[in-house]
Amino acid sequence: MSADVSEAGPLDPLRARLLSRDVLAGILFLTLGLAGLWLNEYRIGMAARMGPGYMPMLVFGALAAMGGVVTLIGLVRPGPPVEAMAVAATIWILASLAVFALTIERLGLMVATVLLVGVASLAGHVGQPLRILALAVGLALFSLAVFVWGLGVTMKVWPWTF
Amino acid sequence: MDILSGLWFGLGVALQPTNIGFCFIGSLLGTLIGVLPGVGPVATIALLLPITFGLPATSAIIMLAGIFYGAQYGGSTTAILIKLPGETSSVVTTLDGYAMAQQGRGGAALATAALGSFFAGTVATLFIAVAGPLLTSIALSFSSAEYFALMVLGLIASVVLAHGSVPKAIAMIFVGLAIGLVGTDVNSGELRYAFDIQELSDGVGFVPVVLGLFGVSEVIRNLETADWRTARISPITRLWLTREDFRQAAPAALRGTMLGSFLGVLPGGGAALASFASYGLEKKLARDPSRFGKGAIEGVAGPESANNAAAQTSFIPLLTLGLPTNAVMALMVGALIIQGIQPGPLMMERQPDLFWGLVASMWVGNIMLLVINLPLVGIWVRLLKVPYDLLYPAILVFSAIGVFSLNNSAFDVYVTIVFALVGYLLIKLDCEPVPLVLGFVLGPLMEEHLRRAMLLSRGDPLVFVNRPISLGLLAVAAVLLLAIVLPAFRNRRREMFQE
Repeated sequence: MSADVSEAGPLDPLRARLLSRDVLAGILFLTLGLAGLWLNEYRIGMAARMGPGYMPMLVFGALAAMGGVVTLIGLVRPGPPVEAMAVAATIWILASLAVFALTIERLGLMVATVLLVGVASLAGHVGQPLRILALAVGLALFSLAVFVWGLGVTMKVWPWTF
Repeated sequence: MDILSGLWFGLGVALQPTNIGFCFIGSLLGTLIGVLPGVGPVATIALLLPITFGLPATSAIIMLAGIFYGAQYGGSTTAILIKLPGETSSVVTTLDGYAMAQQGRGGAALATAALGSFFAGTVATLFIAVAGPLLTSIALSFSSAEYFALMVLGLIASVVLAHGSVPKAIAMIFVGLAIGLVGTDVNSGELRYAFDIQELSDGVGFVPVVLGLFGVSEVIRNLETADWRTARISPITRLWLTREDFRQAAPAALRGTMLGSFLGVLPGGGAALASFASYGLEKKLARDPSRFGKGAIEGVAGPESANNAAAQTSFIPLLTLGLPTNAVMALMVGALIIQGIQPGPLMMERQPDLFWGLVASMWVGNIMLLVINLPLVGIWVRLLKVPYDLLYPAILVFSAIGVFSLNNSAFDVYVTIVFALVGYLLIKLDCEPVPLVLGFVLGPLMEEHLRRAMLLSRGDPLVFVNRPISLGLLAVAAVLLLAIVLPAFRNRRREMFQE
C-alpha cells in the first residue's frame, strides 16, 4: 500500500487529498446517510413506542455521522489514492448478467446462458470464438442438468417451450 | 442431552447416507475451491445457497459447513506448492510451507498441514460439543436488552478484530443495517424505502446481495490481475514426516489448535486471525527464530492447525447465540432462514438433529478431508492449471441461474448487478463488504430487540446499563472501541495482519 502514495506525487496536494479512498468513501457514506434521513417520511414515534421511522432515523443518522468522521480522518491523515478501475471488464461482466436477466423469461435458459457467456467472454481471454461457443454450450447443458433435471427447478428452457 | 449422548446422537444423524453424501460433496467442493485461486469459500457458499433451498435443513448446513473447513485444507496445498494461498487463512503458510517445498520437503509440509488440520478439527469438534450447551444455557436467560447488547458487541468486535479501517467498517455496518430496513416494517406493516417497487416489499433478497458482493464483484477484481497460468509447481517427494519433523511439529500443532479454537469463537477473527496469531506465537517460542521463513515446520503445523480449529469453532456463536461473526456465518444465517429456521439458543432444543448432526459431521468431514487431500494431492495440483478465463464464465452462469431460480424473478438478477457494482466500488474505496453483510443480516433482529427492550423499559435507554449482562457486553464493546484509539493496540493490530 505504501507504494501507492508516491503515485499521488504529480497531482496537486489538495486534489490528491480529496480523491483519497478515505475521503471518497466518507462522502459516499455521508450522502447515503443524509439521503436516507431526507427520505424518511415515516412516523418516528417515541422511544417507548417506536414508529416505522424510528430505526431509519437512528441508522441513517449514525451512517451520516460516521461518513463525516471518515471524511475528516481522510482529510487530516492523507491516505492512498483510489486505484484505477477495470472499467471495460466491469461493463462486460455486468452487461452479461443484464443480458441474462432480459432474455431468461422470453428466450429460456439455454439461449440466456449462451448469451451470458458470450458477453462475459469479452471481459477476459477465453480464446477463439469456437472455444467460447463450446464453453457456452457446455455450461448451458450443465446448468440444464443441475438446475432443471437435478434440482427440479421449473423454468423456461428453450425459446419454444413454455 | 449431555455431551456424550449428544455426540452419539449427532453421529447417528451425520452417518445417515444422505448426510454422509452431502458432507462428502461439501468437503470435496471445499478442497476444490481452496485449491483454485480466486474462488473462496464465501463466494462458493453464496453460489450454492439457491441450491440448498430444496434440501433438508440438516443436509444443507452440513454441506455448506464442509465447504468452509474443507477450504482450509485445500488452501494450504497451493500455499505450500506454489506460494499462492488459496485463502487468506493460508497466507502465513506460504512463508515456511513454500520454503520447505523448495528444499524438497513439500511432501512433509503437506502431510504436516493435513495431519495438523485433522487433529485440530477433532479437538474443535469436542470443543463445540462442550461449549455449545454451556453458552446456550446462558443465552436462554437473555431478554431483548441482552440480545441487543450482544449484537452490538458482536458487530463491534467483528470489525475491531478484523483487518482494515475501523471507522469505515463501522460505517459499512450501518450501510448493511440500512439495506435491511428496506421492505415491509413488521410492526406497522408500512413499506419503507421500497420506492413503489413491488419486488422490494419483502425486502432486498439475501442471495442477490451476497452473490453480487462476493461472487460477481470478486470476478471483476480477479480479472484485473488474473494471470495464474505461469504457476510452477515444485515436485512432491514422500508424503510423510521424519521422526525429527514430527517431534518439532506436534507441539506446534497442539498450541495452534488451542489458540485457534479460542480465537475462532471471537467475532471477526476466525481462521485468518488464528493463523496469523499462531505463526507469531511459534516464532516467539522458537529457540532459533531465524529459521522461520526458511522452512521451519512449526510455521506450517501451527497456523494450519489454528485455521482449521478456528474455522470450526466460529460456528459456536452462531449455533448458540444466533450471532454470525464472519461472512461465512452470515451466509449460514441466510441458509437457515431460507429453511425457515431462526438461528439462536432454541435451535439445540428444537432442532437437535441439526445442532448435533452438524457437530458430528465436522469430525466425519475431517476424516474424509484427510483421505481426499493426502493421497489425491496430485489431482488437486493438476487443477491449478485450469485457467481463470474458463472459470469466471462458469461462476457468472451459476450466479445468474441460482439467483433467478429462487423466485423465478429477473428482478433479483438486477439486484445482483447493482450489488456487484457496489461491491466493486467499495473494494476500490478500501471498504470491506463483510461488515455490510453482518449488518444486513442482523438489522431486522436488532430493530426488533431494540423496540422490545425500549417498550418494556417505557422508553428508558438506561435499561441497557441497569441489567448486568447487558452492561457487561456493552462495556466490552466500548473497551474494544477505545482500544483502537490507543497507538499501542493499533500498531499491534496492524502488525498482526501484515505479517
